[in-house]
Amino acid sequence: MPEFSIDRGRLFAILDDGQAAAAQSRGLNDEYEALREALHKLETGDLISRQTSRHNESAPQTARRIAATKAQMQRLQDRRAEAAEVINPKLALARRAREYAAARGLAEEVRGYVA
Amino acid sequence: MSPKPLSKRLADLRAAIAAAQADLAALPGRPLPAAEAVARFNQWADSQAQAFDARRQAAALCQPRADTTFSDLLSLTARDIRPHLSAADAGPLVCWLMGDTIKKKMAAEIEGLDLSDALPAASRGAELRRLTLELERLEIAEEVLIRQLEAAGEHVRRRDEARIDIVLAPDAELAGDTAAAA
Repeated sequence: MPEFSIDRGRLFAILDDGQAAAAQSRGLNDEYEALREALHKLETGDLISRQTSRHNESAPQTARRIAATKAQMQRLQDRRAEAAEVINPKLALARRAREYAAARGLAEEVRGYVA
Repeated sequence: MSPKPLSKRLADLRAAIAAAQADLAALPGRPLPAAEAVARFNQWADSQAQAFDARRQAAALCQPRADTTFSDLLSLTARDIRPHLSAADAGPLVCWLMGDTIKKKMAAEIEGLDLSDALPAASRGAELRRLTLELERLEIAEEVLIRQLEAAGEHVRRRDEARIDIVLAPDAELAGDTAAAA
């Protein structure tokens, strides 16, 4: 079985692609977390206002905002699931490339990629 | 006739890779040919018959002071040889008594099996090497094709188990290997 050498151009293209995929994944996760936090605040605010006299004035508006945030979260969740189909294989390939290159004496060069 | 589009060729190659992987995975479980299995059994039956050691037992019976009884002679447990075994071992006695009959009956059983994918023991190493090389040739061809598709602007997802050394290999080395394999 022949032993192939490593094409560094290909290696770093794959690692960069993996890095970009990881960043995209982080971005989507951060966006989702922000929405989740916003929803939590809205729901907490709604709960508090139910116990005050202002509840009747603010209730419809808050309910609309909660519904809109939930819908946004659902859309984002769909986007995340869709993106995962592209992101995960790129990440997996980059990780395998990093490990292979590290084992072939390029540990320093590939350190920090798709960690 | 126009050549197949690259994407169709890729699908065909991947089907061939899956088939080669399945062949490789099935290799250790492929049965021996009937003749080889029969010879194997016959050899075992002969060794069992020999283990009975009838000659020694007959000689012992001829001794004026008999210390071998008939029940010892036909004992199935062989406790004197293997005291740790509680199960009866009928092999030596039965094979000594009717080895040829047992061999014929077992040969008939073996020949009744479906052994269409049988592979002789001596050919297994060569077959393993052939299948491994075939799989590698296909994986190299797949990677070359993916690079052609990428060069044409198409995004192609690599298989999860694609060999990373092939994925990272320089074009020239893959081309050389493909040419050598052709």
